[in-house]
Amino acid sequence: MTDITINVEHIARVEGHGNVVMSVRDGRIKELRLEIVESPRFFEVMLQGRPWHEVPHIVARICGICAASHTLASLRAVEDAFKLVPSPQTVLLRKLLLYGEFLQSHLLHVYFLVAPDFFRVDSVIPLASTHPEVVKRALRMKMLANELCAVVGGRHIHPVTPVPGGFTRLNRN
Amino acid sequence: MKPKVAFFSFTSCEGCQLTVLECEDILLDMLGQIEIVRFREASSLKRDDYEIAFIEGSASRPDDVTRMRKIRERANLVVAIGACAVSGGVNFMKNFHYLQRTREHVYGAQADWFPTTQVQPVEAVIKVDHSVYGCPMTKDEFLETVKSLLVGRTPRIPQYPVCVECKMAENVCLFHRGQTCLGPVIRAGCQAFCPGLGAGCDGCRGLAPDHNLASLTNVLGEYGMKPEEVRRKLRLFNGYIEVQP
Amino acid sequence: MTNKFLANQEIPSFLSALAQEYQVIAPVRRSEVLPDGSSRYSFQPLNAGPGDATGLSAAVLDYPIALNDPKKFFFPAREELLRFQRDGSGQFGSARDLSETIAPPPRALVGLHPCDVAALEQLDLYFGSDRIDPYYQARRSGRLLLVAVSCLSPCSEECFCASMKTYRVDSGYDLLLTRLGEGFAATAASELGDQWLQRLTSLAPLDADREELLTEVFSEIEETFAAGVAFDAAAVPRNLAKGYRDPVWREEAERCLSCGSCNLVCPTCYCFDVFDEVDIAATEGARLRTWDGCMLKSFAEIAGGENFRAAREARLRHRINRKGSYLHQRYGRLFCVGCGRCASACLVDISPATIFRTLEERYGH
Ligand code: SF4
Ligand code: SF4
Ligand code: SF4
Ligand code: SF4
Ligand code: SF4
Repeated sequence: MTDITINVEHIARVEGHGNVVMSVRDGRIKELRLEIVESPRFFEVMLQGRPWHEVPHIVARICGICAASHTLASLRAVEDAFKLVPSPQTVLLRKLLLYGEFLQSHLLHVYFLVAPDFFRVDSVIPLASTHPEVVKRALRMKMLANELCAVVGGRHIHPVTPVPGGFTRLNRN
Repeated sequence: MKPKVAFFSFTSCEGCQLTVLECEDILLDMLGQIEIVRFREASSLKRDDYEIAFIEGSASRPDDVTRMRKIRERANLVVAIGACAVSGGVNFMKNFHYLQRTREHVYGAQADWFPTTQVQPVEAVIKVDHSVYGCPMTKDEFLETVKSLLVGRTPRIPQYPVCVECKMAENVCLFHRGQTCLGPVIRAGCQAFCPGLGAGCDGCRGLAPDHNLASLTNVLGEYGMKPEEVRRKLRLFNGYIEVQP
Repeated sequence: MTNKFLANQEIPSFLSALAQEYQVIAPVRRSEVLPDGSSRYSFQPLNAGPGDATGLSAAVLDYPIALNDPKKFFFPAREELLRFQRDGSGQFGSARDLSETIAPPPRALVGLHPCDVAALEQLDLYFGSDRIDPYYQARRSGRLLLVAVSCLSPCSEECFCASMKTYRVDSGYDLLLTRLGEGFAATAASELGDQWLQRLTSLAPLDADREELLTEVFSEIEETFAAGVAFDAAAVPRNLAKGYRDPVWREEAERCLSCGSCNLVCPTCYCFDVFDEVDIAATEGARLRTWDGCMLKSFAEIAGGENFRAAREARLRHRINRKGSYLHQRYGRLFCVGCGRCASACLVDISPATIFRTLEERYGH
C-alpha cells in the first residue's frame, strides 16, 4: 500500500490564486481538490451607491490582466440600462481593444506562464539566457499588444478612455 | 551581489504585478540587476531569503496580517506597490458597508466560506519604507524606485499635484471644458495621464501632501458637486483618508 | 522699413515661403469650443523642418491667447543638461555637457502676441545677461524669425497687459502682422523682417489708404487698452514693498490650491529643478532639469526637510513680489507681462492684477 499526497500551495504562474491537493493510494486518486484561495473582493457591494459612470472604472479592477474585458462588459451593462446603442465606430474600436487584450493575454500565457514548465525552469528568467531571441521576440509582441490597447483605451491595465456611449478621446495619430 | 527581491500579492487585481511584466523594454535589463526569489504570478521559485519585498494589494483576510508581518520580519525594505497596497485603493470602498451584510449579499448562505475582514492598506499593518503610487502603479515610478534602491538613494517621487504635469503637457483643463477633476489635490507622477486623455483625474495616486481639499471642494461646488459628492468621489481610491491616523 | 499687405488668401503661400527655410511654429487649435465660448490654442511646430510644406494649414493667426507661450521652444519643460558614464574605475567620471549638441532647425515663430514678445525679452535678460545659460542660448541664438500679431483688444477677462503696457511692443521681433479687414498689414521691425518682405514679391505694398487705416487701427488699439488700465504698473514695486505685511496675502492664499498652474503657464517663470537619472544598470546617466514653480511647497524645501516658505501665504507673496519687485530691483523692469495666463489657469481666481490693484488702493497715495 503506497500513499502519495501532493499539496501545491499557491499554484505559480497562473493569474489568480489556487491550491491543488491530491491524495493517491495504490495508484488511484482518492481525492483531488482545486482550492480557490483568491481573496474575495465584494465588488457587488462596493458598486452600491456609486454613480453609473464610475462602474467601468471600478469593475476593471476585478482583474488587471483582463481589465479591458471587464470594462467592456460593464459598459455594455450601463448602456443597456440607458437603452443606449453605441455607434458602429465605437463598437469596432472596442473590439480592437478587446483583441489587443487577447493578444497580450495569450502572449503572457504562452511565453511567461506556460513555457517555463516545458523547459523545466522556474520562470522565463532563465529562458532569457538560453533562448534570448525567442524571449525578446515575445517581449516585443507583448509590447505591441499593449500598444494596441493603449491606442484605443489609453492603457492596457485599467483603460481610461472608454466610457458609456463612446470614448473620452479618440487617438487620431 | 544582486539584491534578492520578492513580490507578494494580497487583495488586489494583480494589475500592479502585471505592470512589472509590462515593463517589456527594460524587463531583461532589470532582471540583470536583481535576483527575483519569489514572484508567484511569474515564477515557481519560492524562497524566503529576500531583502526587498514589493507588496501589492491590501490586507482583507484573517491571515493577511500575519503574512504581512512575516514579510516585514524577513525583508530589509518593504515597498508598497499600487493604490491597494498604499491606501487600500478601490478595495477600501468595502469598508463603507456593513461587513456581515456585505458577505451575505454576495455569498448568501455560504458567506462563512469566504472569510474577510475590513480592508487595510499595508502601512496600517506593517512599516512601509517606500510607496509606488497609482492604480495600476505608475511604471516609471516603479522603475525609479528600483533604480534608486539599487544605487541607495531616495526615489524621486513628486510631492506636487497632477496640475503641474498637466500644464507642462499643455492639456486643456477639464474645468475649462465644464467638467471636473481631482488633479489639484492629487499627487503627480502619472504625467497627468487621465486629463491628457480627456478624462478627469479620479485620484488613484492619492492626495498630494500639501493639498487644499477644502478649497477644491468649494471649486467643485461651483461645478455642481455637493461636498458629499466630493467625498464619495474621493472614496473611489482614497477612502482611507477618512480614517487615516 | 518695408510695409506690405498680406491678404487672407495669401497667408498659405506666405507660410509656405517661410517653410522653405524654417520650421514654422504657430498657434493651432487645441480644443473644441468650450463653455466660455472660446477655444484653446497652443504653439506647435507645423512642418517637419525647412523644405517641408505640410501641416501649415493648421496655423491660426486670429486667436485669443495660447495656453503656453513659446518659452518652451527655448527652455523646454524637461531637458537633459549633461550625460555621464562610469569610467574604468567604476566611478562616474567625466560628464559631457549637452549644450554643444543642441542644434534646433531654423525656426519661424509665427503668431506671437505682443506680451509673448515682451516675455521673451525678459527671459533673454534672465538667461543671457548677468548669467549665461548655454542651453537657452543655444536655442535662442539659432536662426530665428519672429512674426508677431497685433492684439486689437484684450484677449481675455484675465489679461491685464493694458496696465502692464505690453499690449504693443516696438521691438524684439522681425515682422508684425496687424489685422486690416480682409488681410494683415505686414510691417518690418528688423533687418531680417525687411528682407523677408522684400523677397515676398507677390505681396502688394501697403497703399496709402491702408497706411492710413493702419495708423487708425494703432490709435484705436491705444484707446481700447487705455480704457482697461486697472492700476499703475510703475507704482507696483513700491506698493509691494509697503504691503509686505498686508492681509491680502493671507486673504488670497487661503483658497490657493498650491497647484502650481500659475507658475507653469507663466511666460516669465524660469525656475527649474535639477536632478540625475541613471539607467537600470547604473552604468550611465543624465542630469536633467524640469520646470518648477515657487507656489509648490517642495520648491523651497532643503535638505533636512526645512522649508523657507512652508506657508501658502509666504509662497504667494514671494511669487507676486518676484514678478513685481525683486526682479525689478535686479533688472529694472517688471517680470510680468500681464498676459493673464496665470489667472485663467487658476481655479480659485487668484490674479496678480487683483493683488496689484488692492495694494495700490491701500498704499498708493
Ligand atoms: S492598485 Fe489597482 S492595479 Fe494595482 S493591484 Fe490594486 S486594483 Fe490592481
Ligand atoms: S485638468 Fe485637472 S489636472 Fe489638469 S490642470 Fe485642470 S484641474 Fe489640474
Ligand atoms: S490622472 Fe489621476 S486618476 Fe489618472 S492616473 Fe493620474 S492620478 Fe491616477
Ligand atoms: S504673472 Fe501671470 S499675467 Fe504675469 S506674465 Fe506670468 S502668467 Fe502672465
Ligand atoms: S494657480 Fe491659483 S490655486 Fe494654483 S498655485 Fe497658483 S494661485 Fe494657487
